[in-house]
Amino acid sequence: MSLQEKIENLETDLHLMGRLVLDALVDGVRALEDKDVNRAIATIEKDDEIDAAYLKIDQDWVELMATEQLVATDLRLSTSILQASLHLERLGDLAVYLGNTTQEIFDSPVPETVHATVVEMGDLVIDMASSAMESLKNRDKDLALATAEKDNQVNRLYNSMLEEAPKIAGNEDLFNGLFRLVTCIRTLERGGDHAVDICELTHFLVTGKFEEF
Amino acid sequence: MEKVNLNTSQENLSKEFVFKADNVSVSYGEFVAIKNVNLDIVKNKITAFIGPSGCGKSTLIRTFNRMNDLIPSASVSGTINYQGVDLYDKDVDPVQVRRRIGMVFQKPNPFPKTIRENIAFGLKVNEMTDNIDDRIEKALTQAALWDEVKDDLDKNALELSGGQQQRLCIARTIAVEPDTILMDEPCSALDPVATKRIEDLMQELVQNFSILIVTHNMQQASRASDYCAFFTTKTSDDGKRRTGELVEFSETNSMFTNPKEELTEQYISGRFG
Repeated sequence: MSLQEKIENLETDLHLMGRLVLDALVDGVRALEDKDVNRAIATIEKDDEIDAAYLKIDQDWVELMATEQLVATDLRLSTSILQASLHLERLGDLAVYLGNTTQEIFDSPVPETVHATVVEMGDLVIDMASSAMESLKNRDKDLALATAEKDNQVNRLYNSMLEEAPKIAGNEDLFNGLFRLVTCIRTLERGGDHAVDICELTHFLVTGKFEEF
Repeated sequence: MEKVNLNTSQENLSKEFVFKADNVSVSYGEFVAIKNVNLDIVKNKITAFIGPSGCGKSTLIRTFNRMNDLIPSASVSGTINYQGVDLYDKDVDPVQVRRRIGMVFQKPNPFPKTIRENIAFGLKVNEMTDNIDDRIEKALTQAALWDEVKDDLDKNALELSGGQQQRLCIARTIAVEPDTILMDEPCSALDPVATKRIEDLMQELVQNFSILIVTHNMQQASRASDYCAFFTTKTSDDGKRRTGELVEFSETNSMFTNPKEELTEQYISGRFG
């Protein structure tokens, strides 16, 4: 197999993994929104496939490094693929977390505003992760920057929930649901950061310069 | 004729650059081997010349110590400023140039004499015979060969291994106290272990010397040099003439991670050349 083919295969595997992770995130957010335990379980089960995809990319990358002397775009691309795969793996873990949370709260009352905000954050993270992968695929640094800027919305929702939560904390009936959802928003906030990191990889791949978005 | 003393121009000496090549072209008769090269070579750094065969990199490196003077058909145009002096000024003595700017060749070429005589020869030619034993020891030590040969200085140099012979040639070069070493594919005849020793040695030597190296080995250029110049050949419209040109010159890290020119990218990633 030529070097070109090896790198193309690695990139194809990354985008297949991206598809798995996006599907898992959609399932995770919808399961949480609908308190749908079956969909939550299905989300959690998908993670093995995501982990296997990550390990394959990791192993193929090591083999590529051992056998080829990569430079220039090849080097930046392969490095970006490895790093992006790690961020995707973490986003996959986020989907699992949403699945687990759904199982914890499906039969509990939850504070509606917090619940709605968590779902809104989840949809934003799905959108960001999808756009981040698209920017990487199309070498589109403008899309990468625009996507990274969406993280401000995620952070705003996160901060608003930190203000909202203490107001509800005294309500014992809602405490379990509140506690679970608040830990969820923290995880989703990190999800936004992973998407931003993928956008930074797009910028690095296109320009050769690391830049913190 | 009064010769220009290469030592007297220190006040003109750029603190940064050992050579400034300005619009340099080299021809062999009608054939233009390389043209219009502009390069500033940084002092006490390793600069690698890379490019496909026939791109003129060896021709160019030989202009930096006027080795092309020895080829009757060769002519050099443009200027090469060395430490503030025009290297091709008619009053510059090429022998003095070659003492200050030493050269190591592709194939180890020790004289068929003893190890000691190999070092002593250049010292005698340059009338540097005071403390000659100390000078021999210093040169062999700097070339990382002393410990291996100190008890065999009267052994014929041709009995040394290829890697040892090349280090002896480096010792012979630095014994006459140059400030710049030109290396034309110094490791191409050596195995990986001997190559690593030479590369390690280059990192030691660059503390005291400026080094220019021609190499076909991309990994060697990327791991051993600080700056890198990439040359290629351009074919004339009628397809009859091929002339070398400088494509890109930059810090090595930058060239191997984010080259500016598409041609550089294609060459260093093995897609052409």
